[in-house]
Amino acid sequence: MTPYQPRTLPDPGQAFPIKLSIRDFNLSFGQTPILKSIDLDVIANHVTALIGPSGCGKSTLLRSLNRLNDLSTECRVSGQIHLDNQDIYAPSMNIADLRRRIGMVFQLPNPFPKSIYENVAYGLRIQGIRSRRRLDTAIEHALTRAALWDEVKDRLNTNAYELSGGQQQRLVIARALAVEPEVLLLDEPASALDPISTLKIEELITELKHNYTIIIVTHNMQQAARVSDYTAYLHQGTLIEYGETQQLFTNPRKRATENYITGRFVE
Amino acid sequence: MNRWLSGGHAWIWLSAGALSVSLLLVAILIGFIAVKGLSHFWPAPIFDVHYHEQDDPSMQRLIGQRISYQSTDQGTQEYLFRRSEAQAAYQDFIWLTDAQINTMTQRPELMTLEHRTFGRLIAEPILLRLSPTSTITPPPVDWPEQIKTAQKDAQLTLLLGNGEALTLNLVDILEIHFPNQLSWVEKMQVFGKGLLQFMVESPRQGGTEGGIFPALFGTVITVLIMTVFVTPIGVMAAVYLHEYARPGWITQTIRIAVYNLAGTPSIVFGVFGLAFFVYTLGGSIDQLFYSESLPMPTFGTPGLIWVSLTLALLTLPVVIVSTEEGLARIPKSVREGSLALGASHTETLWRIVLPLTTPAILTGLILAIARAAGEVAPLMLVGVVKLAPELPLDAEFPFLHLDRKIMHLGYHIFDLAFQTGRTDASLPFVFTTALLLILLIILLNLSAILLRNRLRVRFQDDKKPI
Amino acid sequence: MRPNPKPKQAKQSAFQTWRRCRDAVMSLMIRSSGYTVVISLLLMFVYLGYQVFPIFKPIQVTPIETERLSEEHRSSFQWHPVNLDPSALVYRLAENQRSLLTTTSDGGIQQWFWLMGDAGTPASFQKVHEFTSHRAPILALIPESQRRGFLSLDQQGHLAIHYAPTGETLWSGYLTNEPIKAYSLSSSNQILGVRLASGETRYWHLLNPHPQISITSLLHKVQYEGRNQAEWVWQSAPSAEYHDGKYSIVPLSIGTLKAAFFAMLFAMPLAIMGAVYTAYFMPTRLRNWIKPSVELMEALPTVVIGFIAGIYLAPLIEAYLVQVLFGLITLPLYLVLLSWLWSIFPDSTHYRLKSSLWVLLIPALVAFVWALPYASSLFESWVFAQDLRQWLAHHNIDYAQRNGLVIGIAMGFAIIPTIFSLAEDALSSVPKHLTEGALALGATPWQSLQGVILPTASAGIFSAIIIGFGRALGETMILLMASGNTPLVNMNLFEGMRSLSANIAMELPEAQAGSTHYRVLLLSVLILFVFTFVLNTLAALIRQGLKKRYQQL
Repeated sequence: MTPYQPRTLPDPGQAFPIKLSIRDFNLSFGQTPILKSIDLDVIANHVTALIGPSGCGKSTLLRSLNRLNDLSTECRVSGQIHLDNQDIYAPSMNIADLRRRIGMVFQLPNPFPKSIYENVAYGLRIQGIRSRRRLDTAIEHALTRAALWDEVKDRLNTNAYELSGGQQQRLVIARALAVEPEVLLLDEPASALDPISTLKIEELITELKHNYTIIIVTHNMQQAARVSDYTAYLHQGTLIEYGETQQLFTNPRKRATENYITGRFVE
Repeated sequence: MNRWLSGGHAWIWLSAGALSVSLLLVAILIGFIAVKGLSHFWPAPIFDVHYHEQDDPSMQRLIGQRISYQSTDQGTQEYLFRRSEAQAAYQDFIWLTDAQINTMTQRPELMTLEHRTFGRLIAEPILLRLSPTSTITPPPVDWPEQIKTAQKDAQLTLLLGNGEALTLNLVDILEIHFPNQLSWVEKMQVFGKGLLQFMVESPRQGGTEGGIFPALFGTVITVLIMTVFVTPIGVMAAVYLHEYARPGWITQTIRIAVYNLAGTPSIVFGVFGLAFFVYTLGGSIDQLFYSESLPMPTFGTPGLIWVSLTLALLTLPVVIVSTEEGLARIPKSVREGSLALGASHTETLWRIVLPLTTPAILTGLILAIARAAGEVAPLMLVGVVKLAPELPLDAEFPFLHLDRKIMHLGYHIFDLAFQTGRTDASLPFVFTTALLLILLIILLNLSAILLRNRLRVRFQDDKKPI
Repeated sequence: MRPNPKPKQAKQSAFQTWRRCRDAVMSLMIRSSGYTVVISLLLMFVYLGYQVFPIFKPIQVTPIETERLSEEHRSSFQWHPVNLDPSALVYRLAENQRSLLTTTSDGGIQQWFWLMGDAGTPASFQKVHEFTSHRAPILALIPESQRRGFLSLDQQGHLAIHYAPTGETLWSGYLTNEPIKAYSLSSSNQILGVRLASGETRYWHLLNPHPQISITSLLHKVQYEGRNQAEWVWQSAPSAEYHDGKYSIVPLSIGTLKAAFFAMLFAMPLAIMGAVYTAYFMPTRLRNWIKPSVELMEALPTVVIGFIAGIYLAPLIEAYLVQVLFGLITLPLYLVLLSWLWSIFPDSTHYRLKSSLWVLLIPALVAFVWALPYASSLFESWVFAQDLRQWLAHHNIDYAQRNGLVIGIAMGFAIIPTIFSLAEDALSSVPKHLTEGALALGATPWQSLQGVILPTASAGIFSAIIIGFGRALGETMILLMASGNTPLVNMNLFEGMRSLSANIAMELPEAQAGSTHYRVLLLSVLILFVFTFVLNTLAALIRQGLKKRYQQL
């Protein structure tokens, strides 16, 4: 199968700028290549879904965008990723600032063992914001946008671990939103949640894309079809196909994509 | 027979036996110390005994507390008496058998008292002189009350076991008990009071009377100052090993160094402490800051600060290992969550990881303190002495005197048991001090174990999928 | 009411700079703390080595300008004329005349001791050492003050510095070609003055602070005055005549090894077998209870153990020597017998009592202790036909109250928990599937232990033994309080010993910093340090290797 080589946007005529542009990106752990020559443009204020069988590198690609892979000493990268025309792998890049601009939500909710308030305030405090008034405003704003405010506004000082799984995941989203990122990375955000919580998270994603660029990794193809505008299909570290979600799901250009989305793919 | 061999029954029994023997030994040791140490404070009954020596038929008399008794091989009883010791010729303890004892009476007015210079006396009171004109002789029923309410200038005349009379000023008598009149509850009270006094008083009579407060205080202050040194370095070294170091020869070297610090004999630390801290470091400090008082050394001589520093070096690996274990238990997702919010490595460490590691750090510190409290050998070299004239903490500027020599529980045991001449008199104190030290250490260790177990349970809960 | 964006920007960037600086400082502190561990260990090595080094420094003899010595100083010298008749030189080395030096016409020097003969033979002078550093007749033999060293000068102007007890010549070289008329040695043994035939006076500075220390005196047998044969002697207290002590580290090293050996003999079987039982045959509920109690046992201060051993155990063992020895030997046999009786019972009983095997053991042990006096006195009269102590005396075996047996039991007791917990860790972290595999093939639990677990965990158990041994080598308080502290060279179970560690604890507080005694004590610390370093490093490497292997399994 030949990898998909887009040099242009999936939809050249649209009005939104390119938020992230990935060019010829390779990544390996030790001797094992994980991502091979990825080219991908992410359009601002849309939801882009990364799908593919497990081990295809979609989570790694997501974690490359905020350089979380750097934590592993074995990790080697080549190629470029630009965030608004700024190379994020440039030596001059401030990683902490990059991670503030690109928020991330993980597969399992990982609130800090602090109060709900302190969880959301954490990122702001890191940024040096001390004023109680500013914190209060920002926290209310973030929790409201994460659709959690009404549920927790009376118990902001209780420990975050006392929330339900779905609430915790929304708290984590609120925590990410509080530092006003430009991009939101979601790594299978609903995989550990019950259907009702999942639905809430999906509604939230649709809501949030007006303000943020969202990239979501998901195992669940229905979810990808429901929430995303664009979808990229990865297989064994290679980007096979990238296009508008509707088009990719109804009329895939590649045989491999079709096999995967129709479930004929054998993992 | 075959089954016996292939089942390894012999080995299983041997190994079970080995474990039982080890545990029995510990139980016997601690039980022995506890009984010996605590019985010293129990107001044992006082007897007026007429007896004769084994090889000498002439009658003798003693007034003494019956500490214990046991059956002999011949089926007779054998008693241990503690006698008063105002006269040096007396031995403190004496074993007597049934056959030696003629009469043994337990009269209510027999008393024990603590005298300022003679120490503990066991005697029969014969006269209380309230004023030059008024005297009382026992046994009126309110005799104890009379003594307690008597003026301080009153005098008490006692008859010791050997028939010698002794007149003492009431001012010099610290305490009086009538063990033969006490009820069980009152005995418990005397016991508790004695134990308490033991902990809050200074030693008298070369450690055979009084208490061990300076040693207890010295031990506590030493480990506290040690904690100040060992905590930051131990915690940061553990953080380095777990969070910063990349696998390689440097990390390997550091780990081996940690193992080595843990396994190096404590006396080596003591010698290093004396040679480097005291003579070299302390000597330089004296030259730089205290040159006016030379050649009298200020810091160039063993003292509190050097004890604490030596102990800090000694317990560094304990803190490192425990902290690292704690760091390893913190889920990766929590760290990543913080990093993904734009926190730097250090900020994550400081705000998220270390607060979560606190119980582990505390466990390490408690274990370090327990280890330090039990050490003796290195301390003998770097600043612990048998009798320190002043406590290291007082109202005089700068309040905490890091250069002073201190007393220490462990060294007190060694000193009392082996350096003091009056072994019989000091042994009960050695036992009680040993018991106190063991209890202190067991308490510290137990709290560390409980803390660690709670920590493990807590993180096991966290790992459950939601 | 939004703030002006520009100052906000500036404030923000200042904050970011501050943040970066703070992070850098923190990282630096953490890194340096990590290195501190290695540095402090290295510092200990280097510093101790640096303090010990001067005792091995070669002697330096340097000429001094006459003007550098004050008039007063020069006038304090006592001058002795040299002896030109080589056959007449006899020198007393010691005040009590027990040690003599004579010379031969060809420049040889002999040392003689006044020694008592064996059984009845009269005392006589016997030659103990010969010094052959001179080629010309000796002009003068100059004893050093307060120590057993001496200098010799010959007709060719050749000087040699000797140390009598070891029979070693420490330095030799030519001072001058001119004939020498008189000489003088300062009372500090540091300045040698020589008056030449020309009337000129010259001075040399002799830097020889530690003549008594050499490989020979530290490690080999040395014949000191008044002794019939060469021995290893540690005697640091100065005698009336000499301030140089006798520093052989052999008695201390042997004492250390002897103590550690007996302790290991006692501790190893108990600890390892206890660990095997705990890891494999004990119900988990009980195990969770046993492990902390062993940890508590490890925390028992050794000063308490030493106190009990010295004051109570030693007299107890002296009084019940037969019972103790007999008990130590027969207890394992007794347990083997019990296990055989046990295996005769049907399986159903086993099953019912399985978890409480060791509860059953306690009464069995009590019965053993009860029967011990009867059995041992039978044994004593049967084997020795008399009292064991008499038998020992009869066979010239010395008995000291504080001896190897007491130390073996007391220190063994102290190191049991160390070995136990490490061995138990090694055993219980063997992956479960290995055992289950063996059990599934029909092996008994014992066979699976023997065939699978013990071989896998053997390296871990070995490292536990090494660590226990290291601890025994360095243990101080127990030895100080219960070993008798006699610096003997033997492996007799019934005699005392003095270990390196106890010796240091006793003598270092009294040793004057910088003196030979002080440096030799530091040398013994260094020896202890290096030895335990090797053991600990070995154990650490073994444990790291083991960890990797367990992960692969």
